[in-house]
Amino acid sequence: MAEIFVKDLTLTYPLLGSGVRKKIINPWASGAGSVERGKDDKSRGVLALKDVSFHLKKGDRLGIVGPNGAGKSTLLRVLAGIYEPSVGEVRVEGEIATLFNIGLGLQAEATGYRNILLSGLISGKTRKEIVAKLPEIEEFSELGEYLKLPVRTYSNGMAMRLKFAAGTTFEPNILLMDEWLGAGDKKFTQKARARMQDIVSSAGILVLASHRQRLIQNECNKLLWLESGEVKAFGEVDDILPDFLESMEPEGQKSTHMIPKVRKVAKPPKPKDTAEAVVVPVPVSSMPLAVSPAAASPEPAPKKTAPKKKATPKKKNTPDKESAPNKNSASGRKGATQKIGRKKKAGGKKKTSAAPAIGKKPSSGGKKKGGKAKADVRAKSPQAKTPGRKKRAGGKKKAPAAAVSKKSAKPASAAKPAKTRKPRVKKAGTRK
Amino acid sequence: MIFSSEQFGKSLADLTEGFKKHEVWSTLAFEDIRSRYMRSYAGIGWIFLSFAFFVLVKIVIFGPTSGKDTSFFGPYVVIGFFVYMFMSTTIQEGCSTFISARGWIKGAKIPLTVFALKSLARNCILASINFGVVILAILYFKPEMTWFALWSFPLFGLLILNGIWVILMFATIGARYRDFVHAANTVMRVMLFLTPIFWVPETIGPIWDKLLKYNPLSHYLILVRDPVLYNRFPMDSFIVVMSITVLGYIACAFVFTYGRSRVPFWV
Repeated sequence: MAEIFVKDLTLTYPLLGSGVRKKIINPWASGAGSVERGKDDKSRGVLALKDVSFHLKKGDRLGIVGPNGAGKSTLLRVLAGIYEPSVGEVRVEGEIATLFNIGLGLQAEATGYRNILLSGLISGKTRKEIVAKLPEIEEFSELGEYLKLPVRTYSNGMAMRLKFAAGTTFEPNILLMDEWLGAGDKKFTQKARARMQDIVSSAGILVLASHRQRLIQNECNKLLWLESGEVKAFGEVDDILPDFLESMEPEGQKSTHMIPKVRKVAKPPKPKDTAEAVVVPVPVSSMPLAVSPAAASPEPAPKKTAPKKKATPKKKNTPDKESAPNKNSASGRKGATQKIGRKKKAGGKKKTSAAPAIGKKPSSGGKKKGGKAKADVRAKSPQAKTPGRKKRAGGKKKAPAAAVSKKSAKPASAAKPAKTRKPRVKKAGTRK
Repeated sequence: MIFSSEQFGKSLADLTEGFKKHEVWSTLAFEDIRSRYMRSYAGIGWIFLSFAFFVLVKIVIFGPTSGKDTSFFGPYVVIGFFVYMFMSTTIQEGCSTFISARGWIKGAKIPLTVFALKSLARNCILASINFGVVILAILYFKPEMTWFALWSFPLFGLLILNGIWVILMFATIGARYRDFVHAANTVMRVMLFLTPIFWVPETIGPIWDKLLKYNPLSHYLILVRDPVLYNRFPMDSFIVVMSITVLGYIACAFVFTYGRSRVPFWV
């Protein structure tokens, strides 16, 4: 019964407000993700989806993947009938339930029960039907007495339970989910997945946009890979997922906070990566959704880090650590302070952990842990010319402060990466 | 293409579907009021109190300058302000109806008319509370009334009918041009004094004939008030209001047909 048919779907997301119109990121890019300029309202805006086609039948579970700003949420909204396509055909047969942002559509001041009623009414149920399903929703959400409290008092996970329970209890044929289950505990996630499977097995369709590889692997049989609004691939999960993961690797590794990997990857394929980076993710970064230039351009970062390491030894090590993975920022700082305290030893050790990847290329020799990096540094960085080991120790001490000053003082390669990176690190730190 | 019959048909479907979902918009309307006054002790009483207090002060201040007897001017101000309140909240909140329904609009496919009707229903609920003050004022001031005053009810219905196109149209424009919301607030604040609420047309002099009678809101107001206080059917105002109603619905059809599919992007 349920069916989703999408053909040549193109959707332009209108840009409104003078500010948006004037400041357009990367106006020269053409193709999906680029900004279209036209005098009439219709053609001005971000090309959010371009020529998207796919077909889902009952029992299909589609995972939508792609980098941020690829159009996943927009596509879900099109499927839900919220956005009407600019061009193309979209046919969705079946009763749709949407689970998008947890907060959307919840009335903060109303109690859990009222919210169940409201969301049920909104989705087209009658009061009777809702009341009949109430016990089931109560049971599924496990919120108990909390349902009598205003939703404003709920935690994220509780709100999610409420919404999921209220949204899925009425046996929809088509379930559209955007990045869900993140806030749920293991038990509830299990339950939710069971319910999702129920829906699909009773001749339904699941469409799930997610960045979580395991969720996609477990729940989906088909995969739609979007990149800057265009379909990069569509087919069986097993066929496409490896390619997708590969394409996301540099970013993925960073986000998993695995330091060694980052460096390994960064070092050898520098030229390749950068080239790819320029070609592929640039349009992505041009999407308005990108938070900051630093966050949007993952590839350049590794590049720059590598040279840094070569050029400036100790000083650079600390910024590198900070910058590479978010969580490392803390550890990186600790490292710096420790160095100061322990002087040579601490510094040397840390270098080994941080520097090996970097050091491998240039210096194949000396296995002395501290030695390599130092030597490299001396050779390549003018500022680090201060030789004697004692001085090194001093240099270490200076490291944190020096890094800061260098940003402003240093001219070319090292300064830029430091600038771009550091703010990023700080942001991450403040967020947490 | 924008005004194709297909798009117009979708707008009409939106309208009819919206009406069918009366359970939704009525519940949302009550929820709105409920959540606004939920944690205050006087609760909904505040609606009544603020209206009564405002009107009382105005009667005391403007009464002596009106040139009319208090038994006339009292209910005159109360009914006038009652109608004006309904019109101004309809217009002002109408402008931001879609904007404030953003969470629903972006979350699922729902006819936009639902939110317009919710807004209108909420205003009707508020008006029915304020109506208590009108009743009290009439009982207290005892103006000369006949059964002719009952005409006011169907004529007030005409105001509600106008509310639909006003909200649908202004909400669409307001979602697209955010200035519109502020402009409406500014205009409505001024209109309070350009509409015969605190003054009486026949005592204000030639400025009424020359200028103020071209304020359309005046005619909506006169339409409801004259049967009560003058025991007459204001035919001129009725014609004005009926013409505006027809024109309004036509304008609304264009605006809503154009904007309906875009509102989800705009909000």
